Order: sequence, then structure tokens, then C-alpha cells
Amino acid sequence: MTEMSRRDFIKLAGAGAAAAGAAGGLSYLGWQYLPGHPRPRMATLGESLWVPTVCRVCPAGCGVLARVVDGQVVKIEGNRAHPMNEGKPCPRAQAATQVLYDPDRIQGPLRRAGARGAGLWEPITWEEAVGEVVDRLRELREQGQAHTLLFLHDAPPGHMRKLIDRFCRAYGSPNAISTDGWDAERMTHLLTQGWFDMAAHNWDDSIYVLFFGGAFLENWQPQTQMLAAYSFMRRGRPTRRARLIQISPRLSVSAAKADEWVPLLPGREGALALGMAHVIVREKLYDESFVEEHTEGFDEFSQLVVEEYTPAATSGMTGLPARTIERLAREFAGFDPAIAVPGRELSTSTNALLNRLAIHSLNALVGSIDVPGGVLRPREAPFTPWEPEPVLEPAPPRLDGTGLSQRIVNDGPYLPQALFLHETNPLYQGVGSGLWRGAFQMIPFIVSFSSFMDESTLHSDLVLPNHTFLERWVDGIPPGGLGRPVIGIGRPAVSPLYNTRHTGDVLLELARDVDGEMADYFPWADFESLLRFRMRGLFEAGGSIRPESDSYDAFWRELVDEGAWFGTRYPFGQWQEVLATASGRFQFRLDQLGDALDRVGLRAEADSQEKPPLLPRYEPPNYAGDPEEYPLHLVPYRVIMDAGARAPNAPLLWEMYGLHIKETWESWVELHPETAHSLDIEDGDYVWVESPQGRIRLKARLYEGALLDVVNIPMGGGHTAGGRWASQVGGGNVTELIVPQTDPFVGSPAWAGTRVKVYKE
Amino acid sequence: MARWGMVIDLDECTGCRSCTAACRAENSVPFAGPDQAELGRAIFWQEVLEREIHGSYPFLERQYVPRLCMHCDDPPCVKVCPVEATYKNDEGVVLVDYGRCIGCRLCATACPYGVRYFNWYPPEFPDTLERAVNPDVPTRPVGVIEKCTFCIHRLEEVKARAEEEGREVTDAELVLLTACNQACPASARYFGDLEDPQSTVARLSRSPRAFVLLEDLGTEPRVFYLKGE
Repeated sequence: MTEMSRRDFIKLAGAGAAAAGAAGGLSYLGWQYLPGHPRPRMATLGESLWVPTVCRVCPAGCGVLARVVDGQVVKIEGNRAHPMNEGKPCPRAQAATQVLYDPDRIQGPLRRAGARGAGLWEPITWEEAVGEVVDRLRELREQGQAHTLLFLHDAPPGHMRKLIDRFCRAYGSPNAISTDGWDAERMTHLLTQGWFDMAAHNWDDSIYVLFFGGAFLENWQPQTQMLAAYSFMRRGRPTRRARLIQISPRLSVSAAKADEWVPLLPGREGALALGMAHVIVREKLYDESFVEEHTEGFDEFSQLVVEEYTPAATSGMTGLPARTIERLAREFAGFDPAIAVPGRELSTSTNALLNRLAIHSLNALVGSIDVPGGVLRPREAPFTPWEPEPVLEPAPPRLDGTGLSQRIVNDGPYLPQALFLHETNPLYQGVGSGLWRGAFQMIPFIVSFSSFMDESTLHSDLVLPNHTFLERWVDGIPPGGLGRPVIGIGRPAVSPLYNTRHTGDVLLELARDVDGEMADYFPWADFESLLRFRMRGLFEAGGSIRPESDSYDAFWRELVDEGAWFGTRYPFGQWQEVLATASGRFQFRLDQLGDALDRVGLRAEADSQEKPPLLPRYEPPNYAGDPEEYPLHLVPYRVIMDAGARAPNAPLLWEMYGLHIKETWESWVELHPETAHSLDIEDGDYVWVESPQGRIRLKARLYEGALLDVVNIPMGGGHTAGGRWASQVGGGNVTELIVPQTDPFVGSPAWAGTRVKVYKE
Repeated sequence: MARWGMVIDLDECTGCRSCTAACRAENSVPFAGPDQAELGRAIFWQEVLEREIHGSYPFLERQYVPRLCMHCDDPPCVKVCPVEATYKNDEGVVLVDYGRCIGCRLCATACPYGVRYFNWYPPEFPDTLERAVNPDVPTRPVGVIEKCTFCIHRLEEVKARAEEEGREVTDAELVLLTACNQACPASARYFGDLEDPQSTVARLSRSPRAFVLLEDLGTEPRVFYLKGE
């Protein structure tokens, strides 16, 4: 197939519309209409526009084109100019029109006019809304309480996220806290390689991939890149068909599509990895030159794994046959390049960081670091620096990552005096949502920037609704992504439908109004100007866009027209960048864990008694709930249609929610048939699932792909707010069952660390 | 005369259902809502089925099969229609004339692939959702059968443009022509002219991996699948 540029594509589409118009409608179809049935509008000459933008339904940041006809967005398609998704959308992106045209969107700023959660609101003007927030921010600052501002968000990598961080630092708060749940991955790379970011992968050259946990075809980030890579690894290279192994607690679509499914309970991945390391070291299958030249602490690590993590011992820890562990180790060391990839998903446990460290050490053993097909360090695009950077000196202690609700309720270092919410919904999706309800009651001032009346927004005091992404300037940096720098950018596809405002613009206005000192950090009139300022660095650096004329204006126009900028190649072999530790080597030895935690401000005071380990080791995960009373293990998981807080009310997604097993509009609980029969449960029965934390009622589905004594529940059911369709989604919210426990080092929640019991009504 | 067909590579398919979403958006298919969906009345011209191959642990095997109208060369649905509302056009696309359809649903019963859908209620896009309806594809009234059209509105556009420019339609224009193919992140789907031996679909349909669904019924489907490994 020949490559078509985006411009050709638009021309093609325009010509097509013209041709259809010239043919006098669509008479060739023989379509007729019954009397009284309204004849729909027809696209006519010159009205169809494709506006490049960045999908913001999930954090991946795919390049998409919004098809605009008569000023309405009628469809979302992929943007071929974006190197990550190369013209392809995922199903979630295609629900974006239902996000834009959601009839239950918040139409303007609101002030609470009754008890929190009562749903009584008074419409106010933007001047009033911004004024109230400014008053509160000034007041806190004057009282020396600026650090108690908690800005909870799930802004994906990009300039909204950077702006929120900058806003908080300039104001005086360390608490710009993301709920993305990826800190354990970032911390793994900080400890072993010296940089705090997610890993990038170049799947085109990988020929053996071990996915530890998660579901690579359903819950990876960025998802579209992974879907395309799967197909490429299967049939894109005729002589080099990749072997893909999914290690996970249920037979997901990913496990079914993999070459092999290795069933394993969440939290035990580290034991498997260390058992494999034992075999690789004992049989001298490791990459000697990489280990010699680029690693530190190999001798201690190899002694540890040889002594303590024999196949027999790790077989006991994982429940897998010793022969399977040995075979996986030999395969892993035998294929080149082979790569061990921890999942980017919920099923983290109380030992999440240690497991990830053990898994990542496999990559160092076989030298799959910074080689084609291995683990790459993502490079950031060369944005123009926005000096001066606000610095917090001295830095007040952070309220901590995602163990946050516990710390608010149980006397953390201080109580947040103001809570801002952006693209996150802790009352629904926070682990132990009951704890969050308590935390909300303790916080005196809550502002939501949500476009939707979700559970958390319903319990706010002020609502300053954001535009949806199709109405605003957006950018997006794929999390992990390609390695070489990539940024997507988008202009508004349509004018705002309602009296909403870009949260970026609102933050800039707040910063200007709080005081002059803060205003100095934010000289931009609006978010568009901010993007325009920061992107100048790309123009100066070269890369994918080379405008005809030599002016930045021409570059900017071209950038907005293309919708993406990217570096042309990944710079292999820059070891000082890739191994940026003090030693300049990959650290098997973790002696810098304490310092590293302090450096990113993740360590909470209460957790600091935990003695940092010196080497990756296996600590059995803590599963909450007495095994006698709660004999089953709960595994929450995410299906591809679950778009979370950014698209809660899109009927398209709910109708496809569990379509492959004929479940729509309702969450369910999967049980192995034997487990079900021992409890006298039939397929389709309604059952209670109960944990020490709570109970929910769900439809039971018998599934051979569930492990014995494990129950699997998809995220997404049981909304009580969010819009008319979200509220109609049946089933229950699995987060209500999860006992709040966190990884002691990074504070990430143990999503899959709870035991439950199941019984009929 | 062209003979339109499709090939879907099950080895490349990831079961993501991007095709399902794209088909609904492109073809103005309304959502059913929880109550109607529960009754099995949700319309998906392009669904992805989960097929169990081996069902007991640890020998579990599942396959994901995107299923759309097979555009059979010998379509059972056409034979049973009492009013000639459903027909195969000159280029092999099986279509429904909604004005003729009396809603008897004989065709839905006759179709062995279960890909014909009845409109149990008028198409409804509540409030502002109506604005996202694709203006190129009219919605269907209550009481008629609807189904996959191979995105014939897109096909006609491409043909009209080629005619205007005085040339043949090219294979490159066709491979990703349908909304489902265009949206497939795994690029596992191909569309084109089976009569043209050089076309991508003709070539792939001759692959030793190629098969059709329910071949023994003799319906001669024009949608081919390539086996996984």
C-alpha cells in the first residue's frame, strides 16, 4: 500500500463527499423512507473537515481526526501523522463523540446549594466561581497553609499535568498527586537505572515477551501501539514470529491470544522472576559482557538467587511446577532479544515494587536494556524551558501517593484544607471508597473541574467544568511510548457547547489573581499560548516537521495541521542517559532506595520505618481477610471498554462492556465452575461478594478461565452518578470490596490483595 | 464486474472490538440501552465472538472471531424474502431495501450467521447525541431488518471519484475502505475485489490458511478468514 499523507486523506475525503453530492444523494442504495420518518441530513460538498487532535479518553494520547460536518463532530478516526497509533483508533476513542454530546454534561459553573451530595446546585458566573477559589487560595496562603492544597488528578503526561505540578509548586504545595498508579514502575527505573519514568518499548524487534501480570491486549498503555505491535510480532516479520507469554490470574483475551498462559496469583510474580534468575545464573545463560560492563551488584544478586530462589523453593512460593520455571528461564535466555514486562494495570499487591525490581533484573541479566527490542528510556521532546521553575524550599512533606485516603482519615502529617479534582473520581475508583467518603467529610473546601457530575463532583462545593477535549487545546505525550520523543497536539474541533472553560485557562487565571509573585510564573494569556511558547524548542531542534518557511509561525501552523511532532530516531547507546545512576551502571543492588524515595518525595513519614532491602527479594504479598472466613481470592481487572473518569456516560462503551461474553450494561463476577458448584451457584445466579471491607451484588458467570478459589470482577459497574447511562450500569463497584493496603515503598494500592466470600442471596 | 469481499486474519486480530465501535459510529446504529440489550435487541453489524476451542483447565483455548454479514454468493436470506426487499447487487453486496421490507424476519431466521437485525423500536439518539449521527448514512425506521452493507456509501464514493478521474479503483484505496478495516489497530482486515486476481483479498483468499464459516452449507461466503497458529 502506498502511504497517504494526512492532506491527501483530507482531499480524498472532500472529493468523495463532492462525488456523492453530485450523484444526487444516495439513490444507488435503493434506500427509501417510510412516511413520517425524518430524513437525516446528508453531507454535502465542502462541509466535511478532519481536525487533528489528541484523544483524551484514556492517557495514551493517540493522534485522532475529528470529522466535523456542519459544525458537529460526527466521527473519530485515527491520525496517520501520529507515529504511535499510525491512523488507528481504539474502541474507547470512538466513544469521544458521546463524551462531547453527552446530554448530562455540566453546562456551567455551579455552587453547592444544599448538603454535599444532595445534588442541589446554584448556577453562578465564571467571575464568581474563580473569585471564590482565589479568595480561598489567598486565605490559605496568608495563614501559612498553602502546603495543605491537595490537587488530585489523573492528568495524562502532557502540559496539563506539567501545569498542575507547576501551579502547586508556585502556590506552595507539594501535593499535586496523580492517581495514575504508575509510580511503582517509575520507581523501579529510578532505582535500577536512575530515571523516574515509565519504560518505552520497541516491539518491532522483540521476539520473546514475558508479560508479568496485567493484560497486554486489554489494559496496556499506550494500548493502540500494543495492539499494532501484537499483529506485527505475529505476522509482520515472516521469519521471526515472536513468542508471547502472559502470566496472569485469569484467562483474559490477552492470555488467550498469547502463545502460552501461565496462571499465577497476583503478588507472586517476583518469586517467579527470581526463580528464573536462579536458573539463568546457575546455568550461566546471562549476557556476560552486559553484566560486566553495565551492572553493579551482580555478584551479590547472583549469590542471593542461587542460594534462596531455587526452582524448588520458588515453585513453593508460586504454585508453578519447578520445570515450568526452568523452561521459562531457558527460553527467556535463549531468545534474543527477550524482554520481561510487568503489566501496567491494577493487579498490584503489597509487594509491587519488589516484584517489579525482580522482573526488571531479568532484563539486565540478558542484556535487554537499550537494545532494539529491549527496554528503552523514553526521551522527552526538547520543549522550550519555562524558567524560572518554582521551587519549594524547604519542601513540606507530601500527603503521599495513593495510600492517601488512609492518611487523611488516620491523622496524616496534616489535613488538606482544599481539594481540587481533575479527571479523577476517588469516591468511585479510589481503593476503599468508604475511606474516601470519610476523607471528603474532613476536607472543608472541594473544587471539581470535571465535565461530568460524577460521584466525587456530586460531593464538591464548587464545580468549574472543563471543556471536553474536542472543544479545547490539548497535547499528549504517550506514557512510555516509543522511546524517541513524541508529542501530539490538537486544536478545538468545535466551539464549546456550553458555558464551560478550559481548566488550563482557569489555572492560569487563578495564578494571576492569587498574587503577583505567583503570577510571575505564569505569563501566558491562555493554554494555547503556553503550548505555543513551549513548542518553540521543537522548531529549533528539527525532527519530523520541517516547515517551508523558516519562521516559527509556519512551524506552529504545520504542527497544528499535522497533530503530532516526533524525533526521527531513538538514540541507542547513550549510556549516561540510559544508566543515569550514581555508578553509571544498572543497579542490582538497591542501596539507594531510601534516597530515591526522598528524591521524588514519595516516602511518607509513617512508612519510613520499613527497612529498605539491599537486593530484589521476594516478600509474600499480604492478602487481607481471614482465609477461614474469606476463602476466595479477589482479582479486579479492567476490560478494554472501561474508560474511567473521562468517559463515564458513553452508551457505546457500556453496550460493548463485556460483549464477547454477552454481558452489557452490567458488571459480573467470574467463578470457576468447580468453585461455583461447591457453593451451589449456577451460571447467571445473583450472588453477594463480601470482603472485610464491604459487599456487592453481582451476576455470577461460570468461566473455565478463572482459577480455582479465585473470583474475577471487572471494574466499571455500580456507578451512582455520572449521568443517565452511567447510573444505569448494573452490577457493583469492585473497589468497595478492596481492603486498603499499600506497597510500603511507593504507596501504590494493593488492588488484588483482598480475600472474599461468595454466597447466594 | 467487481466482486467485493473481505479477509480477516485471525492470527493478527486482538479481539479489541475497535471494528465494532467503528461500525456503529459509521453506520448510524443507535444504542439499545440496558433493557433492550438484555432482550437481545442491541444491533451490532460487526460483532466479535468468543469461541471456546478447549474448555477445561489447563488446556484452555479461546478464539476471537469478528463476525459480520458474509455477503454470500448464494445467500439464504434473499431466497426467503417474500417481497424481494433483500437482494444481492451486481457486485455481490447483499443489501436491504428498507422501503420494501415488511419486517417479517424470515431472512433473520434463514441466515445461518445470525447477522441480520430487526429494528424493534425507532432509532433514538437522545438529546444532543443526535448531533454525532453520520450524515452519510440514514438511520433505519422501526419494523425493518438491517445489516452490514460493506460500507457501500464509502465504496460508491471511491468509485465515483475514480470515474471522475477516468481511472480504475485501486487496491490501495479499497483495502481499508470499510469503517471496520480502517479502525483495526492490528491491521488484520482487508477489503477488495475478489475478481481481480492481483488484489490483496484475492491473494489472501487463496492462502492455505484461508477458510470460510459454515462452508458445508454451500452459501459461498465472500468473507474469508485466515487461521491462527
